[in-house]
Amino acid sequence: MQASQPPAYELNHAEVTENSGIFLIQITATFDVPAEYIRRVLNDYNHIYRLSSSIIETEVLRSNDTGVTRVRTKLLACAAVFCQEVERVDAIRTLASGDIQAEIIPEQSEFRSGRAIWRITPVDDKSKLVYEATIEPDFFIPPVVGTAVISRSLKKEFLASFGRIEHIAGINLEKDWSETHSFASLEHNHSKRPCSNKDRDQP
Amino acid sequence: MKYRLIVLFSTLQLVSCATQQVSYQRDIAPVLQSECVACHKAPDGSGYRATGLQLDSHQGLMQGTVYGPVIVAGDSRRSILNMLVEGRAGKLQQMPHMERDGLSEEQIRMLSDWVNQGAPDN
Repeated sequence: MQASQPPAYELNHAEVTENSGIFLIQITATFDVPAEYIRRVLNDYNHIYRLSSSIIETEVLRSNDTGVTRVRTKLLACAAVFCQEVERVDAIRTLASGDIQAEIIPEQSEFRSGRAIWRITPVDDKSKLVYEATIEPDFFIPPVVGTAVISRSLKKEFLASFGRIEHIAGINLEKDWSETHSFASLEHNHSKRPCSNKDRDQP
Repeated sequence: MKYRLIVLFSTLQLVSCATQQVSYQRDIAPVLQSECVACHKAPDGSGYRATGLQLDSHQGLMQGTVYGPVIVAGDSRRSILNMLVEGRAGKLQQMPHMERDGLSEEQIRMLSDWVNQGAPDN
């Protein structure tokens, strides 16, 4: 087993702009992985730390009957040599269309507002992911950094995350294939003590 | 509003000056051996089978999981291994698993210092 490989997704569009303190992020990419696997990665809140090296703390707060899950993350937001720890809590839900919507809860976050949507569309055996988000920081940004530097950092961060999403989705696809096509997999017992139990999993 | 403004290089220098040099062979490997290797060892450890992470050698640790690296040399805050043993990814994800006692505060601090010192094979 080997660690990550370079991202292979096809980037269709990537733009980060700023207007009156609100950042608008728009990224569209095509992944060489079926849509269900992309969706599975984005819905795996327990392993959300795998998606970005900026995430330094994460916690699934609660899910409720309406299908909304609250996820708290602490991020190490860096622009140039300046880094800052920033907290946010998102209310995340999967829409009837299968798209995923996240909304920042300002009272529990260092953001005035924020909303994101992940649109995942099957394209044959591949998938197209459209990500659109607005975020309005409510924390101090050193004037020397400037919004252009932040926009560049955000863009770089999201493109790296897209690479991770495809990579993890690809790994899960391979695993499913192996388990389906290998009798040996029937002998695997991941719930065997003392290494794990059925409610827990691995890094 | 709670925030920290950090100039990275200065912080890293301060950290490295303020802590003792940690040795992988002397300090880290024994902890991994006693707390982690039972599961994170090829070919049959359940942790290895789930993620590919081998913790019985420096090379395996630095190679990470099939999902990506677990160590960011010089930055324990971004290192997934540190996140998981410190419980920063939630109780459910905390390593080692609950059947074990978990790492002591001293072991967690040592692991953090070692990563901040660049995670060398020393």
